[in-house]
Amino acid sequence: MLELGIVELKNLITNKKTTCEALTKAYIEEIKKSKTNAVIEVFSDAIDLAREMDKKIAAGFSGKLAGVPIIIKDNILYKGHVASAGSRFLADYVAEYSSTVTNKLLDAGAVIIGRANMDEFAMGSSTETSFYGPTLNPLDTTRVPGGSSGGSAASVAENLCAASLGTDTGGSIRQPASYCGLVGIKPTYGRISRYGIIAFASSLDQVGPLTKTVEDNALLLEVLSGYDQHDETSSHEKVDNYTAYLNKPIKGLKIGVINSVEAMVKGEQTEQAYNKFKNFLVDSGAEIVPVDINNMELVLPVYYIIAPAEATSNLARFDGVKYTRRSPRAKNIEEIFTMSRGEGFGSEVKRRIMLGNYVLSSGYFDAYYNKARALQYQLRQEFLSAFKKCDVLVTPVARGEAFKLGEKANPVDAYKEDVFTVSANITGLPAISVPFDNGKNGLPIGMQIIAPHFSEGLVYTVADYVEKHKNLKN
Amino acid sequence: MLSDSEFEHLRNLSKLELSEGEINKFKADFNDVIAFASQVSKAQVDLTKSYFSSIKMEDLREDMPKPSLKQEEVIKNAPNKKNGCFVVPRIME
Repeated sequence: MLELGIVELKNLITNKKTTCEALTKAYIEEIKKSKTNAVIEVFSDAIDLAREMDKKIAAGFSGKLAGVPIIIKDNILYKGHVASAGSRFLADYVAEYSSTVTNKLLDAGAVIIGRANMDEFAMGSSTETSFYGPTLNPLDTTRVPGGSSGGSAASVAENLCAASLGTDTGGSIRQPASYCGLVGIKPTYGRISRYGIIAFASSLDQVGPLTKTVEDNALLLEVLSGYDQHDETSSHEKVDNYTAYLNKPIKGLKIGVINSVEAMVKGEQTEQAYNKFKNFLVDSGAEIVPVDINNMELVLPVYYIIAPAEATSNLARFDGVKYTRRSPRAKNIEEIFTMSRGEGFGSEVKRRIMLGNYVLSSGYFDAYYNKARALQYQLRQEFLSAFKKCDVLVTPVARGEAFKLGEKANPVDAYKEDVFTVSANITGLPAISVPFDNGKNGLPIGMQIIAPHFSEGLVYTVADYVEKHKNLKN
Repeated sequence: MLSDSEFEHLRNLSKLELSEGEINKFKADFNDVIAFASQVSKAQVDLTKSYFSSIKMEDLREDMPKPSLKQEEVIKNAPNKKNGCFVVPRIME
C-alpha cells in the first residue's frame, strides 16, 4: 500500500479500505527503519493530526489531499516545528508562522509527517552539504539522491510518504527527481508563493512537488499555486485545472531541441537516453524543431554569479542576533557576527557567500554581476523567441545517472551538474523532470520538458504522454 | 589570482570566521570558481538591458498596514533577548 501515490491512497481512504491514521503510522514505521537519512525529523504531532483528519473525513470533508501523508523540505516553515534548511545555524529554529504552501497543504487535508534532508541552504546538487550528513539514494545506497531536495526525493522513492515538496533554485527538484525515478516540476517563477520559504536566491527560488506520477504532480500543483498577498512576486495569473491536461495526444506538437544542448550532451552518460527520447517523440507523431539559443553555454556561469550574489544578501540576516545561534566565544559585536557565522555555516555556504561578495564588490560588479544580469535578460528573450517556433523545449535533466557519494569533491565539477536545469530558473520558465530511461547501472534517467511561462498544463500533457507510452515504444 | 589581502577583504565583507584549513582550501578553490564565473566577460551583450521582473506594477497590493506577528513572536528565536529587545554587547565606549 505504501508504494501508492496520492490519487490511489486518497481512493483507499475515501472507500474506507484504510485510514489516514493507519497510513501515517505505517509510513512512520518505514521512516524509523530507513537507513538513507532522507528524513531529518518525524513530527511528533503527525499521528494526532492524522486521527483528527479521519474524523473530519468521516464528517464529510473531501479536500484534494484528504488524509494523504506528505513530507516537506527542511527550508519550508511549518508553525511550531523546526525548520533548519539543513544548517547547523538553524538547528534549533522553531517556525513562528507557516509558509503559504504549508497552509495550502493543510487546508487540502494533507498530513505533514516530517521534514526532509537537504543541502545546506539548498546549496548543492547531492544533499552531501547537509549538517545532518548525506542522504543516500534508496535505489543504490552508494550513490547520492541528487540535490538540493535529495531528502524530499529519496523519501518518496523509498515509500516513506505519498509525495513531498522541494524547492528549486537551479535544478534542486528536477535533478533529484531524475536520480530517484520521480516526477518533479519547477513551476513558472511566481506560480507558487515563496512566503515562509527560507530564501536562497529570491529571484530564482520556486517551490514544487515531487511525486510518483504525473497525475499526482498536477494535482499537487493545483493545490499549491496561486497569488498570495504575502508574496508580491507571486502571480495573479489564473490557476489552471492541471489534471485536465492529462491523457492527451502529442501528435503534431512542435518540440524544440536546442542546438547548443546537442553539443553539450555529446559524450555524456545521458546521450543515449536523450537520443532515444527524441526518437520516441517523433514516433509519437510530434515534430522535432531545432532552435538556436545564443550564449546558452554561458547560462551556468550566469547562474553561479546571480545565485551567490542573492544568497550573500539573504544570508546576512544570520548574524548571531536574530536567529537562535550565537557563538559562546563571542565577546563583542564583530565576534558575534564572524564567530556565529563561522561556526553555524558549512563550507559550501561560506564559499558561496564569499563568491557573492566578490561579484558584488566594487571593481568587479560591472564585469560579473551586471554582465550576468544583462545575459539573463538576453537569454530570456532568446527562449521567448524559440517558443515562436515550437510549443515546448526538451533537454536531458542531468548528465547521467546518480553519481557516487564523494565523487564531486571539486566545487566547479559539482556546479557543472546543473548545466541542463539552470536555464529554467534564469528565464523563469516552468520545467519538469519525467522518468524516461535507465542508464548502464540500471538507474533512472529523466528528461526535461520546458514550456512558455504559465504553460504548466502543456508540460503535464507531454510528461503524462511520456509516462504512459514510453514502455510501449522503447 | 586572488591576493592574500583581497581574500582577507572578502572574508571580512562576508563576516565569516574561517579555520586555517578552510582558508587554504577556499583560496585554492576560489581561483577555479572565479575563472569559471569570468566566462561571462567574453560575451557581447547590451548592458543597458538588464532588468526584468515578472511582476506588473499595477498588480501591487495597496500599501496599507495589516495585522502581523506580535513582537514576542518575532523575537522568540533570538539567542539573547530582554524586554522585547535583542541583547548585544556594548557597542559605544
